[in-house]
Amino acid sequence: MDKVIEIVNLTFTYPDGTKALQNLSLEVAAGESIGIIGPNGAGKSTLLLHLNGILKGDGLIKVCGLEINAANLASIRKKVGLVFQDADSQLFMPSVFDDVAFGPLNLDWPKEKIIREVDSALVQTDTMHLKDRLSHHLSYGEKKRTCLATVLAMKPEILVFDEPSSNLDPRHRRDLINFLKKINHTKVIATHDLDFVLQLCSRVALLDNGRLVLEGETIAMLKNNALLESHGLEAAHGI
Amino acid sequence: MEHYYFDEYSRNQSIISRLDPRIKIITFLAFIFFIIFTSAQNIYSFAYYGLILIMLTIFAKIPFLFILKRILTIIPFAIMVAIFMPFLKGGTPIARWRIAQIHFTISREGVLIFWNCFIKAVLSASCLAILGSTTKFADLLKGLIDLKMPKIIIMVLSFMYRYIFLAEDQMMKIKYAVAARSCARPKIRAFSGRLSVFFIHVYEKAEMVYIAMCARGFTGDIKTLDAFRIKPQDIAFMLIIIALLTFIKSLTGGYG
Repeated sequence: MDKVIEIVNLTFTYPDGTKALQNLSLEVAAGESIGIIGPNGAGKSTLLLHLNGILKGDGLIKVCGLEINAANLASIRKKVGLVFQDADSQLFMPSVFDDVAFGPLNLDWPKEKIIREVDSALVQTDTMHLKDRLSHHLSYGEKKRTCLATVLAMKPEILVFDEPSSNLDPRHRRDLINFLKKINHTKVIATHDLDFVLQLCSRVALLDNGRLVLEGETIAMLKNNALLESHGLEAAHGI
Repeated sequence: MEHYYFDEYSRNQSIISRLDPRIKIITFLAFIFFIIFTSAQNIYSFAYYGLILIMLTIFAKIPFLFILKRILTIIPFAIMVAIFMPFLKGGTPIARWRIAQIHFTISREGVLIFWNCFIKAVLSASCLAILGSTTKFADLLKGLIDLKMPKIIIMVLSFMYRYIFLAEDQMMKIKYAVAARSCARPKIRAFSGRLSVFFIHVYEKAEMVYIAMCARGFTGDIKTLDAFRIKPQDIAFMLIIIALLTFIKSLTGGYG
């Protein structure tokens, strides 16, 4: 198995004393789609913020063979595209084009390449018609698609999603699932939308209270009603 | 939610918006210096400055109402500073009256100081409004970096611009939440609570935006797509404006 993410004994405590992650170990293979499930406060978002080097806990994290440290941070942020739960946090530039170009600009690519990649990301996410619109004036579904474009434009190897289906109407949720099925990136999806996980992920890791409770094949995990219910989740309708 | 952008007319492809940001910054800064160092009595100079600014607004294809709104946000501060000068500054009295046992006297010198502050604030604010609205904010910051403005000031300006929209959004959400649950006139205590919640929300939101910026490779440097290159028309613009200002000075004379 070609590992692209390797986490060994990761522990993280917030400044207020909340133990968000405790001795968590996890591996993700290249091209794999893994669902990180768990109730609110399980530590899913905290774990995702570690994959991009935003948070730094105790333990080892390697992304594409690179250990997360100050020297590797720029390379790791290019490899890991993080899509936040709240689209409004991710869109902070005046126009959609400026927002999508923000990441590529920080990679110091030539102008022609930046324009090409921005256009390509906008076409991929069906947001080309929004290119000159003000980011703050988009509908929530459009904002979510634009957020995806902002990370795709950086040509990442790994896509990390925090609650990607939250606040989306059924049509936009369906479009997102179809889009994610089409792309070949390694995907880490943190959610408690188990139907979403069922359709996209081959493997699932269940987190609760900052600990990895169990990991395994998606269908087997999602069929385990007793396990899901004991950790504040409900079985997916599709099971 | 409705937002007003500082650089609203930077993409309108006018003669002014196409100029090199560095040249625009230098030219408008020179303009402001000319305004500041003009004597308050020199009314004709101010009229000519106003005329140049009107011409620039037309060339920049900016509605006059937009510039007026920008000026109106600055004028109250100038008035606040200068409003008491006619009463406090000694000199030749031009009006006096008594209310209860208090005597009020307005002096000619005091009125002149008020006028000096007011007209210079209006003209300088117009310069900044034209500069700001015809230059993309990122280009303006990059121009300031190129002109050796300290990085800390650039960072403060950059984040202020990003967070101002978040603050606006949060204020609106809190306002709706209060309105949805209010039957009577809100009390001052409720307002103070709202204000504290507002600051906490904005702080948290700003933190998330900063994290999102870092996640996309932001390291503190402002980067823009267009590399700046000074063209002959940029130099011509700067020379024409400075020549006009110098001509006005020689025509009307007098610096204060």
